[in-house]
Amino acid sequence: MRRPRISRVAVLAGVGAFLLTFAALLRFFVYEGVLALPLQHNRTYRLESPVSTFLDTGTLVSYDRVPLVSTTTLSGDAAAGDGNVAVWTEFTTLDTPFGERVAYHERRTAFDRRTGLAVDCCDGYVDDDPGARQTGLAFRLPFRAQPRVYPMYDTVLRRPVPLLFEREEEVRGLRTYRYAYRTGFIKIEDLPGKLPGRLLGLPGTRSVAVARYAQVSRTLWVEPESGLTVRAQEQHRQELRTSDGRAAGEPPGGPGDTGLGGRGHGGRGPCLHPVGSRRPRRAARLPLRGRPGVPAPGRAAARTPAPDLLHPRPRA
Amino acid sequence: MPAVTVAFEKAGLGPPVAEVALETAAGTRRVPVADTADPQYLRPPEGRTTWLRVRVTKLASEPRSPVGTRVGISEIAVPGVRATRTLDVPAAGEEDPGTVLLTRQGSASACMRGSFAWTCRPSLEIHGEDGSGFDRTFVVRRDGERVVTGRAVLTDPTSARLLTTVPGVFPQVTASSTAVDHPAVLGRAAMDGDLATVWYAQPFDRRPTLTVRLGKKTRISRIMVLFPDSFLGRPPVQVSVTGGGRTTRSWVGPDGQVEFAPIRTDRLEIAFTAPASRAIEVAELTIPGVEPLGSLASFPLRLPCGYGPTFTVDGNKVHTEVVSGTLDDVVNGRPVGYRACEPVELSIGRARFAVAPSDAFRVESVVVRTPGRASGDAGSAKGSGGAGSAEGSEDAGNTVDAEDAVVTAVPAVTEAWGPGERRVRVSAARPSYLVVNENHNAGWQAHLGGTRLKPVRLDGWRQAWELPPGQGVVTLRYEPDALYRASLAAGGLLVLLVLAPAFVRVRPVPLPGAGPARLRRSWAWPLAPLAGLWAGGFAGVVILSAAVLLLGWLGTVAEARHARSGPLPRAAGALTAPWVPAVPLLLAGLSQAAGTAYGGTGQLAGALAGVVPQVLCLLAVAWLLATAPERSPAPPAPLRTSRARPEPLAVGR
Repeated sequence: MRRPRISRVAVLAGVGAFLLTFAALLRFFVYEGVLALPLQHNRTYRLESPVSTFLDTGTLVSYDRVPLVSTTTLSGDAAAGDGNVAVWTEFTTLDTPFGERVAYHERRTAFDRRTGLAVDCCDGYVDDDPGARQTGLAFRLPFRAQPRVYPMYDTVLRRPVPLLFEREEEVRGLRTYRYAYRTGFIKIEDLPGKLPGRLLGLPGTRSVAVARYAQVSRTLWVEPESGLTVRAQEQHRQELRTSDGRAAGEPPGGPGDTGLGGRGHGGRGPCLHPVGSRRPRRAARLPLRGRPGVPAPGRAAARTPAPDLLHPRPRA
Repeated sequence: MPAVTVAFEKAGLGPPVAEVALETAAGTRRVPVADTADPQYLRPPEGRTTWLRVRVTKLASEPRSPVGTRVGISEIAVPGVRATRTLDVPAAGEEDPGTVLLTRQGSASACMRGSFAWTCRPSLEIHGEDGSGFDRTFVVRRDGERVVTGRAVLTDPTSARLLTTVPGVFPQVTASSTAVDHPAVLGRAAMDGDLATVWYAQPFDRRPTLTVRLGKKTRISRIMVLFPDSFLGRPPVQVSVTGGGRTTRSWVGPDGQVEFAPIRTDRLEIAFTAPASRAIEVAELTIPGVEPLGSLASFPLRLPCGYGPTFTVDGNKVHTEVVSGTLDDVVNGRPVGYRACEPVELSIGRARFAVAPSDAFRVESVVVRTPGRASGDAGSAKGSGGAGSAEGSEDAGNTVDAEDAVVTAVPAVTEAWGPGERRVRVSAARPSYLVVNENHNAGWQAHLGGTRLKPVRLDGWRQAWELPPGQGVVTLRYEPDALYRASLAAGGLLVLLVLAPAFVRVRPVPLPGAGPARLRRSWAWPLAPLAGLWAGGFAGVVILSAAVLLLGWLGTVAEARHARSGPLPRAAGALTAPWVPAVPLLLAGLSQAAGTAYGGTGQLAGALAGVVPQVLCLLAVAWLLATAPERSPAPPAPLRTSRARPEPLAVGR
C-alpha cells in the first residue's frame, strides 16, 4: 500500500516542475515571441481643428477660420503579412464640416511587427506613387517605447523625420512620453500648369508656375509600455512659392494653415487606453476644447499667427 | 550545324546546369555549360542535321529536393534559323477544294461587354494559338488566281481613335493612354453619353489625361466626372483642369461635380490623380453646354486599298481594303469585312498566309477562293466570312472541303456541362475531332452510343477525341471521379463501423472478488524501446532501454528487505524516490531556457536547446516506466461492492 501514495507525490512533483518551467518560459520566451504588432487592424480616429485657413486650388478662393476634420482609417491586410511583417493601409481625408474634401492621403506600408519600422516590400505605395520608398516608424511607436529619438515617416513630406523625445507628461492620470517633430518648409511638388499671378499678390495678369512647400509639426503622447498614441496634435502649414521665392499660403493638401488635435488611437492586443476612456474611438470624437488639464490643440493652432497668408512674403 | 547560342535561366530555379548533351542527326556531343545567365556558345556535333535536341545531363550541385527542381532555357539561337510558327492545315482529298476558310480559334478579347458595361482587363485576354498575329500554311492543288476576303477586328487604339474622330464633329476626345488594345476603351467612351462605355487608363500612366477639343471658345467653371464606383461616395480622385493658360486642381465632389475658377477655352486638358491602389476608369465626363458624342452606327466604314490588314503571302505583301462594317463595329470591337485589292496568284505546293502581330487589325478569318466561284457568289462573300468567324469549337479550325466547296463547321450543342460529366450533341458528316479547349487529361473519356472514342492530344495540349461520321450524344466523363467518390464513401462507412460499437451500451456486471487490473511492470518494459524510438530514434532506444534496466534493477535493490544498509541500497532508495523524475524535467526546462536565452547558433546553444533537454526528458520517461507499480498482492475489498449493490449479484447468479 506504499506505492500508490508515492505515485501521487511523484505526479505532484512533476506537475510542480512543469508549472515552474512553464512560468519561466512564459515570461522570458513566449512573451518576447508573441509581443508583435497585429496583422489585422481596423481603427478610425479623428483630429479636429476649430479654425483653419485654406485655399481651394480649384476655385482659387481662400477660406479663413473654417473648422476642419481629419479622419484617418487604418486597415490591416492580414493576408499580405507574415510572422515578422505586417501590412497596413492608411486612409486620411481632411474635410470641411460640409463634406468638401480639402486633402486626401493614402498609403500602404509594410513594417516590422516588433520594431514598427517600415519595410520596403509588399506593394507599398504613398498616394499616387507606387515607387515611394518608406523608412522610419511606419505608423506608431513599438512596444516599450524608449525615451529617445525615433525616425518617423511623414506622409505629407514623404520622408522620415526625427521624432524627438521631449518629456514625460501625464494625460488624465496616465504616464506618457511626449514626442514631437517640427520641420522647416520642405518642397513637396511642383504644381502642374500655372496659377494666376494675382493670387500670389503679383502685379499684372500673367500666370506663374508654383511649387508647394509644407511644414509639419506633430506631437504624440505615447503610453510607453504599449507604444500606443493616446493623444496627437498636428500643425500643417503649406505655401505656394514661385521659383524666385515668393510665397502664398496654402492648407494641408491644399494651401494654408491648419492645426489639428485629437486623442485616442488604439491598437489591438496588449493595449492601454487613457484612464476614464475605455473606448478610444469614441473618445477621439469628443470635442477637444476646454478640457481641464489638457492643452487644447485646436486653440494652440488658432494662436499661431498666420498674417502672411495670401500675401507676398519676400524670402531670402 | 555551327555553334548555337544558348542562354540558361538562373533565377528562382534549382542548381545551375553544368553540362548538356547536344543531339543532332549527326550524333551526340556532351559540352560543359558555364554558370551564367548570359548567352553562351555551345558546339553541336559536326555534320548536317534538320533538328537539334538539348538534353541536360548534369547539374552543378545536387538539388536540395528531387521534387520541384527545374532548369530553364531562356533563349536558343541557331545561326541562319529564324523561329516562326505557322499552323499547318491538313490537306483533305486529292482535288483542289476551290475554297479555303482559315479562322482564328480559342482567343478572347481583353474587353468584354457584360450585362451592363464594358469590362476591360489585360488578364481577361486569351491569345489562343495565334497570339496577336495570324499564320497559316495550306496545300494548293491547282495553279491560279485566288480572291482573298475575310473579317478582321481593328484593335490598334490609335487607328481606332483616328477613324472614330469625325472631322468637324465636336467634342473630340483624346486619351493619354488606354489599358488594353481595344477600341471600346478609347477616350471617347468617357464622353459618348453612355455610362456603359468606360475609358480605362493604362495603370502605369503617371498622368492619365483626357484632352477635349470643343470647337469653339466656351466659358467653363465646372464639369461632372462619373466613375464606375461613384455611387459609393466621393472617390478620392483629384482632377487637374488645364485651359486658357492656367491649371486648377479640385477634388471630385460627392455627386461627381468638379468646380474650378471659370476659364474660357476651346481645349481642355483634364488630368486625374488617384492613389496607386486605384485605376483611373472614367464612365462619363460631362461639360455643361457641350453635347455628348452620339452613336456611330450610321457611319459606314470604307477604307481604301492598303488600309486593311496587310498579308504576307509566300513572302509577298498583299494589301487589302475594308469593304463592310460601320464605325460602331469599330468601337465595339466587332469584325469588319476586308478584301484583297487584287487577286493573289498561288502555285501548286504549299501556300503560307501570314499577318504580322503588329498589324492594326486582328484577322478573325480568311477565305481564299478561285475567282470563278467568287464571281458566282460574290454577294455571299461577306456572309461566308461571317460564318467562319462565328464557327464553334467542333472543328480544330481549318477545314478544307473537297466535295461541295462549302465549308462545313458545326459547333457541338452542349446538353449538360458539369465538372465531372458533360454531354454534347454532335453531328459530323465525315471523320472529325471533338475538341474541348482544355488541357489534355487521360482521366476524361468520351462515349458515343456505347462505344468509347479514341482520345487524342491536339496542338500538344488540347483535349480531343476522334469522332466517326454520324450524329448522337457524346458523354464526356471524368472517370477517376467515380473511384474517388467510391473511396470517399468507403472511408465514411469504415468510420461508421468504428463509431457504431461506441454507441452499443453494455451493462457492466461486477464480479465479486475481482478488482480492476493494474498495469504490470513487465508489461511496461517492452514499451521502453518503442517509446525511445519514437522520441529519439536509435539513440533514444539505447538511452531509454539502458535507463529502464538500470532503474528497474535499482528498484529491486531498494525493495530488498535483507539489505537495507550500505551505499548501493541507499543510493537505490534515493533514486527511486517519488520526487526524482521532477529533477530531470526541471533540468530540461532550465537547459532549454538557457539555450534560448543564450540565443547563439553555436554548438553549445544548440545542444542546450536541443539534445540536452531531450535526453533529460527520456530519463524522466525511463523512471516512470521502471517504477511502474507492481500488481497489488492482495485483492481490493470486493465485499464492499457486493454489499452496496446486492441486485447485480443476484442477476449474476
